[in-house]
Amino acid sequence: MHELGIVEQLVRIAVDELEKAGAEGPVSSVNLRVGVMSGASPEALRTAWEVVVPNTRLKGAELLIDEPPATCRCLECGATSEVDGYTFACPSCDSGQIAIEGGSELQLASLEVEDS
Amino acid sequence: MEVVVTQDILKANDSIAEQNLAAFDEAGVYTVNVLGSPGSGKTTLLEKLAEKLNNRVKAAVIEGDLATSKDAERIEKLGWPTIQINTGGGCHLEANMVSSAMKNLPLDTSNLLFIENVGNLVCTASHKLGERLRIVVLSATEGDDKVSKYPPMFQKTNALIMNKADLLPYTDFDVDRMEEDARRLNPDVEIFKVSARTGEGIAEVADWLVAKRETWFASR
Ligand SMILES: Nc1nc2c(ncn2[C@@H]2O[C@H](COP(=O)(O)OP(=O)(O)O)[C@@H](O)[C@H]2O)c(=O)[nH]1
Ligand SMILES: [Mg+2]
Ligand SMILES: [Zn+2]
Repeated sequence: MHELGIVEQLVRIAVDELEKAGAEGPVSSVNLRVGVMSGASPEALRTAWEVVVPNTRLKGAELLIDEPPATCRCLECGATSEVDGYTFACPSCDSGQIAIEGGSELQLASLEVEDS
Repeated sequence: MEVVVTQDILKANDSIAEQNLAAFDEAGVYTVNVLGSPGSGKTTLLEKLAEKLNNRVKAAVIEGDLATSKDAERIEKLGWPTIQINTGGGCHLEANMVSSAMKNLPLDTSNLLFIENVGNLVCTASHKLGERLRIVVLSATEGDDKVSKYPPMFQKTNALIMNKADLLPYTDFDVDRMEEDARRLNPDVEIFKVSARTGEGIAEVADWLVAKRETWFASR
């Protein structure tokens, strides 16, 4: 899997952002958003994190992963709902005419930095 | 102190993909990312398509492979300029690999580029390469449940090529169920039923590709 590469990118982005924000203290937590349809596995990300992060600016930080569900908008009744499992029908009216909207996020949301 | 970031982690790849797309547009090359499991028939499909496309387009191919050059050798026999990318075990192509590979292709004399991705139904879906079109090859022997098990792949594709139709009588693959799942995920998806062995359905895929390319070219 390619989670190592993802964590390396993540560290690169975090280092840039910390510099931009002028934050110099140790990073206590890193908040990721990993949608259930992002193609990345939180478990594999945690493993990759253990390998990559100890030698970086983020060492010692806790990895917090939020896993937004896939959401869909029904093209017939207009309801927006969470996709239930992988069934892909509107839970309100059972229509199969839906547009999948959320769930593919793979984002660095925020960093928590202690005072230096 | 909280530093709010909200950045896509794959943004570096996405922005290189956008540069690739601009370069392909500039050169008038319509680029197709060919995805699917190992063994689904991606290379065989390209071989069959060549018979139908050869006097209608000037095609070139980028072959993504873990380590060998077997597929590139097969494609070169078709007379299409071919560049091999070895990912060295990497499970997907990335946009920067394509941007290096394209420097070695005769883009000025080509107008259609196929990129055969590494066989994989997961992370190839989230790595844009600079393509205008995606096609996913799913073969009868893989099972009709793959569409609902790997939704991002099928959600983001323009076409689903159901290959190895010649083997359908020997499998429990339910074509209707596969179609229903695919349309739920992706209402606009084009679905083709083909056999890259017998040639069934290949002409329709070729006609569709040529039409897509022409529409794009006219609207540039
Ligand atoms: N029976 C049958 N075999 C096929 C078909 N398409 C490809 N194959 C075979 O499936 C195997 C894998 O094909 P290949 O094109 O190398 O798959 P790739 O890994 O997706 O590029 C080869 O032995 C092909 O001859 C088909 O439509 N029907
Ligand atoms: Mg192949
Ligand atoms: Zn990958």
